[in-house]
Amino acid sequence: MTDHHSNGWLAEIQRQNPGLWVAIHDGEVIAASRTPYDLHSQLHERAMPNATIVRCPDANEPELVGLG
Amino acid sequence: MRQSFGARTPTSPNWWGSAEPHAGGCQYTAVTDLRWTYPYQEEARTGLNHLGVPLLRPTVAVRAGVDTHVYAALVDSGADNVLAPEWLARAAGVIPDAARELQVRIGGSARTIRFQELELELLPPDALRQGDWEGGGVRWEATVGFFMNWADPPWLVILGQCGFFDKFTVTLSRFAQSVAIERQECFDTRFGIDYPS
Repeated sequence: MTDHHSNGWLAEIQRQNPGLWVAIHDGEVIAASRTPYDLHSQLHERAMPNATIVRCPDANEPELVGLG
Repeated sequence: MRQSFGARTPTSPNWWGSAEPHAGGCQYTAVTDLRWTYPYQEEARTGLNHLGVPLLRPTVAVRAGVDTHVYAALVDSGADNVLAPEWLARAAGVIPDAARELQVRIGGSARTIRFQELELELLPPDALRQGDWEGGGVRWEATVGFFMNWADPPWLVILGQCGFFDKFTVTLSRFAQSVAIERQECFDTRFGIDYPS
């Protein structure tokens, strides 16, 4: 199994930021917000055009099923 | 031959070598052998997790249009289209077409989606961690359905049958807890699908 074959780092980020959208750069959270729209604006204002944007579900929210 | 095969684009090696990003296929940039496997993304599970199993989502890394950010996109075999909130259309530099509108139902409620073509780029698994990926990727054009009113989307990109599963061979394995993406024609080769040219 190769190193890349694990999202443990992402799971940890999600555990630490329940209910938030986070921006990740080099494996570190560089910004967070309640909405992706606000997060995107934050990144724009801070001249950070390259980040991964991920949602961190809260363990207490209902599970998503059957979008399609 | 199934009637729906009539809508298929030929998948000859020559066609795959096309440098045209919007010729109905994909444009490969510094990617010679597309065999990317993405680990499922684990989510916190509600309450006591009496099911005793983790909640895992098949996700891949994509960029959209002129937007330079990387998004974790949900691979959703049950969705017929690529879907996204209208906000992503603005970030990606396109305007959903009001003349191509459709009512869809999600979670019991109806929502309006408007379609527009959008260039997407599939990035390798490492791009999710880095966020500023400058290596190779695979670009293709998808007709994306944008939700016109979706204040709290669970995902910013949902990759469905038309616009993703018809562009790549997508293999989902809960056993391996991974989703594998290969070239479109791999499925035909592997299973001997007889597609008349």
